[in-house]
Amino acid sequence: MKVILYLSGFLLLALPAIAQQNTGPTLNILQLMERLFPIQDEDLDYEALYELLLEIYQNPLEINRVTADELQATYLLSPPQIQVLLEHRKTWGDFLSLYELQTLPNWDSTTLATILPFLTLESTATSSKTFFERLRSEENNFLVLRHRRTWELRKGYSKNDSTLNPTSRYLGDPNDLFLRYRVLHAKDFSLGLILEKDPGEVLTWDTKTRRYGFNFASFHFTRYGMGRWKTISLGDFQASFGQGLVFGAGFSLGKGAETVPTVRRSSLGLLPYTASIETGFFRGIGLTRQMGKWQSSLIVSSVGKDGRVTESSDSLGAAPQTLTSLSQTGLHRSLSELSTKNQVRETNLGKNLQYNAQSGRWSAGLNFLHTHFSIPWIRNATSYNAFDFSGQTNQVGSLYANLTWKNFAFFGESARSKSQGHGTVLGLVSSLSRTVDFSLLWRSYDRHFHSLYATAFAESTRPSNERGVYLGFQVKPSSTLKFNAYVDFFTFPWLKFRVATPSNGQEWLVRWSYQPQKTRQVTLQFKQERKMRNLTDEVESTPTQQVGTILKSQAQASLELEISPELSSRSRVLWNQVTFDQKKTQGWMLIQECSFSRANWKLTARMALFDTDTFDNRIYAYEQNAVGTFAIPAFSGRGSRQYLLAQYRIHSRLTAYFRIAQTIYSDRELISSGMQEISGPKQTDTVLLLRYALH
Amino acid sequence: MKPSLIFCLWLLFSIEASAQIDLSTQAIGAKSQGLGTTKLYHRDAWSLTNNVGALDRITDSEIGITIDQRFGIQELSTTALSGVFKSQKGSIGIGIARYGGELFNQHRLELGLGTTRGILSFGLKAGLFQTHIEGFGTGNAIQFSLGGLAELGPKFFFGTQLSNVNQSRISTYSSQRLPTLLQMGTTYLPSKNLEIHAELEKELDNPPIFKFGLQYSLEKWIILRTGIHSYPTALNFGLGLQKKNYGLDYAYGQNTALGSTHHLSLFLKR
Repeated sequence: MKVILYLSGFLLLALPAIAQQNTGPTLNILQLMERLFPIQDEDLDYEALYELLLEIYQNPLEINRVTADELQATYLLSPPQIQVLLEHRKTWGDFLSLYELQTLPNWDSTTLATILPFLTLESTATSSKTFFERLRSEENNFLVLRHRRTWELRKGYSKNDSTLNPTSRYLGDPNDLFLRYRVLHAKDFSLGLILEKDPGEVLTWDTKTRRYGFNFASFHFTRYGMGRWKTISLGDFQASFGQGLVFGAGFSLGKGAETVPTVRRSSLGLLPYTASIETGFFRGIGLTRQMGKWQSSLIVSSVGKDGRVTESSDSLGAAPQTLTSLSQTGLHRSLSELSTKNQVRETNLGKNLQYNAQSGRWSAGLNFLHTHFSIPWIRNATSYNAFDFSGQTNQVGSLYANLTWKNFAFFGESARSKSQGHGTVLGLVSSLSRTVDFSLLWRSYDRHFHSLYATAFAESTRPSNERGVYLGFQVKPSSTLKFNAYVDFFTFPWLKFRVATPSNGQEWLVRWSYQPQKTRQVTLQFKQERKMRNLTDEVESTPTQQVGTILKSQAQASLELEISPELSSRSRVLWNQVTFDQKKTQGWMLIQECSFSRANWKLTARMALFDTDTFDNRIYAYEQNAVGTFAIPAFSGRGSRQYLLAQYRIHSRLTAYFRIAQTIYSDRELISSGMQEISGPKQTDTVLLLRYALH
Repeated sequence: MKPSLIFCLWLLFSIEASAQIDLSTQAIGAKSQGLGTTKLYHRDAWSLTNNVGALDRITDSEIGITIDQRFGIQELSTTALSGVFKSQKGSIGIGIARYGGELFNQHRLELGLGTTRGILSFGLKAGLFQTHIEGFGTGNAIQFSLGGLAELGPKFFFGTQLSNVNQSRISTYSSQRLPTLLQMGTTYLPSKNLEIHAELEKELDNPPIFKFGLQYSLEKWIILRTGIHSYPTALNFGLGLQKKNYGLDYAYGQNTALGSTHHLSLFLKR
């Protein structure tokens, strides 16, 4: 029972049915993550965030050792609930059973049901086996092999098209290969290896371009709780301290359907990096030492980065190299892309010091990060990036604090970078009554505030050139009804990409969900965003320097039904309208999805139709995929989208996933553009994933 | 130059954001201002102006004075004095308000009556409204307004008010009418120390304004408020301090385009 409970976080993903039997009422992790995710309106890769959330939910929290920060990071508990748990533990000693949680005053049955899968009584510290024995006998030990491919040939692969620029032609085949090995035990150790080849890349051993077989390799080995060493992390890792102004761990939940708890960030410390995104992590060594109430962390990292380097000869005849752009994509398909590979070495030296009060009521800390590039980074000058980072080194330091007082959890962090720019986040999360939760966040980031690993709360993708106030609100008048809302006001004191003046905007969301029974749920959501953007010249259709208001409205309605324990259905209608430059355009998408599961297999099928007027009306639709594979694709134009996902447990150790997805456009004969162009209105993608448990 | 600039500014505001600025549409009192200019539920000396229907919901007679300062411009400030007197049969309210500077100003004298029958409280008020524009002269108008507040349950209230029912003109010589407003809204009281207000206000010639307010009593004597409203979009915060029979309210309003507003009220209860 215990073991199953312990693993349930992970099992839930792979085998929801089994987990349900053993932990009683549960919550589908994917559903939870979908709620937590920011509502997407830009092409951002959320895989790293997905992996990090998985990391949080996969590692059950030891109820007798868990800290307020760790509990908060689940986003499932309110500040008073956390406080009550910690006080109960202080007054009455360790919990003897998880069922003791029922006696806590403000813990209702719904809370209990949601949090239970993520808690455990078991303590890893008491294990008598040696580390290597534990490593060898660990049950959470698995190998994942994944193949993905788009079956229609993209332009970049065509061998004998003479019109193609030879330097941008793809050298490899369109197969996407991914291999992962991972063994982990919560609060004890984690060991992992990732090898990845993106489509178009070549599997080759070439020291000149630093390609050793797979194009991307990531390794980590992390030990927890070795005496006073709380964490020792080797290889690839991330750091999360304070509100993410210095150490953000690629983690920015912000404005999503879950409107209250997601504004506050937890200091999760050093975490293994488990995503296959080829940027945004530290490579080297990370250490955390616990000294009573003090905790001290050190980060030493050196990682090669992709970037475009140019040589410019100055008047003295010397030719200093400068880095004009850092590439975030991690793609090395063509000679041109290969020429950017590993062009610059980034060295980081980081420090964190944190104090946790005994009562668990407050904590405070300081962060410092020094970054050095082997080649100075000088961007091609534009007016909107005039205040962005430029140079060879950056230093950023911050102070942060968390305080729980009554039913309020206050948090804040204030940072300053080498450029003298300041960044500050202040906020609170509170349960105003049993049924009403509230959050408030104020932030101010100077246009010349530079923090390269920051992911603090912001409307922009980076916390820079922004001031704003966010209010979040949730009412649960009964156990079946839930109402969420937020409103965010922001100003950008300097120009932005496609906005030729300082600008401002607002965004608000309301969401209403009704769950009369566990097996059925209705959700309605409306979101509106008002921002500014450069107007386009009517005649020449080129951007002008005049700025207009762009108003985006989005609505969605969804119905989730569990018709029988085996069969479930999901229906969703998405609509949006964009008003810009006196033109109104609309987008629609209708989605029907069904899942059917039996003992050791599960089938999910989706059929969707979309019809959008312009690219601005594109619709991001969350899709189910093979375990550990994550994407929220965007759809624009007119067409249909369908997929079939099959999952089959071949035997107790081996599970196979297969997914075939197809988009058929009815309004075009060409998909995508440039080297990615597909001739024909159809795109078919497959995923084949094998997951093998080594124990 | 300066007076004409100010006049232009006033015109701009009165066209773009009349709901905030014209005296006959303004929410009076720092409490209402801190709650996103929601008006319908609050039971205080300002009920007379904000919703005459809530007049008789007041528990004790109360008088108050309020000052509003907007965007650092003296010519956009409001001062008001109001009193509500409770008796067994009903309540009576009387108030006076001034808005504007020397070149443009508005004055209002109001008298209202309110009573309660069962779950419904309702009231009626009459106001004498004077508009003065330097060089153009002074106009007088009489306005009538009706309002009600119903207790739908122990936690739910519904309020409505119709202001300037008679659609009076700025003066007998002018064709321009004073704003006519219809407001509706609900209040939800999830617990003893929490109030949630949501309201909709429609002026005849302007888009509807959505308002939302949240009030939380940290202790009996210290109250925190926040609110938002649309058209013009603004965010408000407020603080209330009260002793047994006197207290003060402060509110801060933030309008992204124009700047900030400050509101201060003092009140005395019997």
